[in-house]
Amino acid sequence: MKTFEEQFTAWLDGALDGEELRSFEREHPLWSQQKGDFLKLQSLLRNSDHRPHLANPDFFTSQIMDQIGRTRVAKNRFRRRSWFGLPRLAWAGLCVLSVGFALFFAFIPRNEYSDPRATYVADVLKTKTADPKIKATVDNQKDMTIIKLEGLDKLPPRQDLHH
Amino acid sequence: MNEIDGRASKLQAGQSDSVEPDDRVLVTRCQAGDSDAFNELVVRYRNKAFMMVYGMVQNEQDAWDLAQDGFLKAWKSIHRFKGESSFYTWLYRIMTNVTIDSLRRKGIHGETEFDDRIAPANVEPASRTTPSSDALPYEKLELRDIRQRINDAIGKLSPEHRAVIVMKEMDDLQYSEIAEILECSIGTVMSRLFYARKKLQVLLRDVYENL
Repeated sequence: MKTFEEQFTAWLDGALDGEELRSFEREHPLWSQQKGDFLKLQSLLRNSDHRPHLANPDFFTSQIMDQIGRTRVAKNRFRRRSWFGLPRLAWAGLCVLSVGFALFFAFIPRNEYSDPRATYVADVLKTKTADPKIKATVDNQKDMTIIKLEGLDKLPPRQDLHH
Repeated sequence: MNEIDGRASKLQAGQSDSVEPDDRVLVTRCQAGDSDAFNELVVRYRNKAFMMVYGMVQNEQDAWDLAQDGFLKAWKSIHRFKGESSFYTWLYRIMTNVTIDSLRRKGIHGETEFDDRIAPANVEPASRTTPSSDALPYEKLELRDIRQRINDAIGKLSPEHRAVIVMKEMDDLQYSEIAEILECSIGTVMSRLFYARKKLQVLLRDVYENL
């Protein structure tokens, strides 16, 4: 349901008709008497267009376009100065990390038993007293390791070099 | 050619609410970064924008600056224009917001402004809302004087009431268009018109009665 203000505005602008119009004028006779005044006001406002034309329109436009141009130049200058934009910074960081990891793995002490067999021997030596079926002795003079397996048809999987 | 016609500036008269083809093409080019296309839009709408802003601020220099600010804002946010309304409606909205913000920053709220929440039962039809200004009773007013009186009267309205008066009485926009520009309901537009007209009625009675 329209408020009084909405009804009055619609009535003044000729947007009420039929029963709505009759109802409004019946219920608000004092406001109806003011209609002439409001219509004169409307006429005054509409017919006394006091707003000036835009003086120097081309200059007006050129100032706007100059400002847009200056903003673009400043933006491009900023882009050129900051070679390291966010994407480039991210890639640079990734490269540095990659180089760092590469250097780290290149210079960390290598396990002298890098040969799978050496690793195997080391494992065996570690277990030489733990597992009675596998015995290993080290002969320093001959510089060899003797692995003695007893009662085994084959090496346990965890000691199987080819497993 | 008179490109300034308050009647003719009625938005999209006889057209749909969608973007005019020419404007649509220009906007698309603007969104791709083509400033020449924006230059064309500025040329197309600079007068209407200026006049709308002037209607609210009543000062040429301020209107010039604010209209330029409005166009610059439009350029910066052109990528946000989706074509749901006409380009001019969208531009008009930016201009209105820029102008209202400026008026508010200057502390302009409207002298003894009607509170929109006051029930109309408390308002007598013939009541005065402000002390009457110096009038020139029973004298034929010069056009210059009339314009000054209108300017002064509009200057006493709040930014929101100025906006609806300018859009309705000078630019002859429909309630729905005004509501779309101000992003409020049609009922709010009509209510603001009521109070703005009531106030102007009192301020300008001696002017329109002596014409």
